[in-house]
Amino acid sequence: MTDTATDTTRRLALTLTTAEGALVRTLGTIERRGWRMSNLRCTPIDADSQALELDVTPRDPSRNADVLKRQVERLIDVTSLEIQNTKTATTEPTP
Amino acid sequence: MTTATARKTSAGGASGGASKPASKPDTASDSPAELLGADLVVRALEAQGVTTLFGYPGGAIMPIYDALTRSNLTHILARHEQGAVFAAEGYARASGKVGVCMATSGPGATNLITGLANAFLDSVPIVAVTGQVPQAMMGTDAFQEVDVFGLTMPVVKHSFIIRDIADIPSVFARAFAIAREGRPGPVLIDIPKDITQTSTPALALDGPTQSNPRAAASDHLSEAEALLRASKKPLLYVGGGVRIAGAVRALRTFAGRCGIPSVTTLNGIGAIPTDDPMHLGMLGMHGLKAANLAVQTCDLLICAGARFDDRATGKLAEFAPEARVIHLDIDNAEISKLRRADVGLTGGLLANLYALEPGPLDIKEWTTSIAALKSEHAWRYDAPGEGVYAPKLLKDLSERAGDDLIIACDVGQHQMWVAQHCRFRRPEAHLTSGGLGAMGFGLPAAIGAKFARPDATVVCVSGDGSIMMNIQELATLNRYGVGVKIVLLDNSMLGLVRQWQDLFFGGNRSEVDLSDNPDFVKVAEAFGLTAFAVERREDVDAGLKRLLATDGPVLMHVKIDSTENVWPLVPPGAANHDMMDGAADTDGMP
Repeated sequence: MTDTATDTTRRLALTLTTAEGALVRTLGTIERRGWRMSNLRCTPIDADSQALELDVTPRDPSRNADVLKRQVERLIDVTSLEIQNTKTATTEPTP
Repeated sequence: MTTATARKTSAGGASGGASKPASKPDTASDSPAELLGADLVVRALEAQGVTTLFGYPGGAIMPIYDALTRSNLTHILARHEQGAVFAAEGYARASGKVGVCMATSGPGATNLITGLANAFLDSVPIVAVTGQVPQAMMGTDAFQEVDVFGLTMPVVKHSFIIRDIADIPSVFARAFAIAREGRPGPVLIDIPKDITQTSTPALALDGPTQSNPRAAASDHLSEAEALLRASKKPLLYVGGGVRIAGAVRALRTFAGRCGIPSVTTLNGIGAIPTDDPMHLGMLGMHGLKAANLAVQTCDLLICAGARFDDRATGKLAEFAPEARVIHLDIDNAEISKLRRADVGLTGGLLANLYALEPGPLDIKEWTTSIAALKSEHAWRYDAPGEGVYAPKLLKDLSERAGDDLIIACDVGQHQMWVAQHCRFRRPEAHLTSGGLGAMGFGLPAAIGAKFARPDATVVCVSGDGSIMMNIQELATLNRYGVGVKIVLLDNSMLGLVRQWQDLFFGGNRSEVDLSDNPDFVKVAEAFGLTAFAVERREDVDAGLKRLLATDGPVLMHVKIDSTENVWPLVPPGAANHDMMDGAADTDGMP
């Protein structure tokens, strides 16, 4: 994690399809929902899937990582998403 | 393709019934060994049950327009791509089917974007097909090349570029399923021209799929039922998701069984009949006073298919301050997005509403107070002055037109008056641009609705600002003899902006004067419509009678007071109980 990480920084680990636009759509969604991205790494898994890891930090501290998780999970090209390596606080559970 | 140029074809015109060409071109047979990609596209649309689509041709999509003439699809030529996409939305909302629109690359595709954004924000299932320059030219700044796939990513549920002709069947099947299932939304399919011009052996095509979302986990349902039993002041907060889920009957059954009063969002109007004794109307910025006061005092808010939109909540931190929240939504991402839910019930609204059985509730005192609140804040229609009072006109229109009325609104003061004053008994009867607030929605949406429901009385309520945003679609009305009835409320002003300038910008009226409007009656007549004007209050009844009795497209131009405001109004940033409600709030205003 870089020194830009804060207490609200989260590490996301995703699996995406390799469909055209999958990566851009995912990153665009994260950015539009109000999160800064850093430390991105995208690696192929096989012909149909790829792994994406990145750190995300909310531009507004009230943003909830669990809501972001669900907003990204509903993208058609996202097949799995985990929040890892949270620096301090845990994410709020879905009611 | 059914003939597009024949006047008065299929949407309430005098003759009715779509006509077909005398014979199909002999370039295709019913089961040719080889098909062009373009023919495969139209067959994929047919396989999905599409019968009607809206669009505008151009260079990159010409192969598909060529193939349309060899299909059974009815193509409705809009006069602008934005008209086509809004018409597809009106069609989808009135029919419950997926709406389809089509445009060429470049400007044709960019002209769709406002409509896609509208469909995205209001969860309308549409599939938009765009032509694209050939793959070899993509990325070279070719003529009419624009990256519509990239441009539209933020405003579509999903999108595809077809790179292989063999993918056409699967992409179309997936696109329709994605548009329709879960939380619906727009899907874009961008097709390079070389794909549509390539031949392929005939490929198998999939038909439409169906999903039946299940109820939430039983422990979550039990938690919700416990909250309901503990509540003394429960209130249903109903959004457009109820209509989308086909859960209107389930909602009414639940509300009736439990005796819980209700409010709706703009897009939820009609899910509970607006004249139901326990229904308080729309909440929010221009919500009814009783509705907002009930929300602010309830102790349990049951949010069904709504999303705590800022226009509904006002100052979020002070919204329903005493309430616990049960949030029912098909979209898991909406739960606790803006307001923390004590219990989130994801999954099918229909299944969840039927599954909730809290037993008898002890809320008699609350329902008595709700009835008193509703009575205390009932609308009055004895407006001073001699001019036409738009709220009364709209109320009378909705009562006179009967229950098979569909009203498609534009955006502005008239939109809020429709939401406040018209009687609705079905949510499909109220088509409005809720999330995006797109002026220009009303007329093309009404056209789409009339094609979906030819027997319904379809009325477009518009303003003099909004109508000009897509006035070219009057030509579509005339071309097909679409029996849409337009009520044009003309205050020679951008009324809602003017109202805000008067209230919140010190009366500094900036670029809201539309007194140089054209003569709308003459404009409509020039497009071939029947048109007439109503200028006096005493002429409204006769005008409505003539409007509803006229066959074919008709426009009723109504001159209204340019200083009329929409009340009540929750000022921006204020809590919903801080409503401005008329004369007392406008002292000293121009």
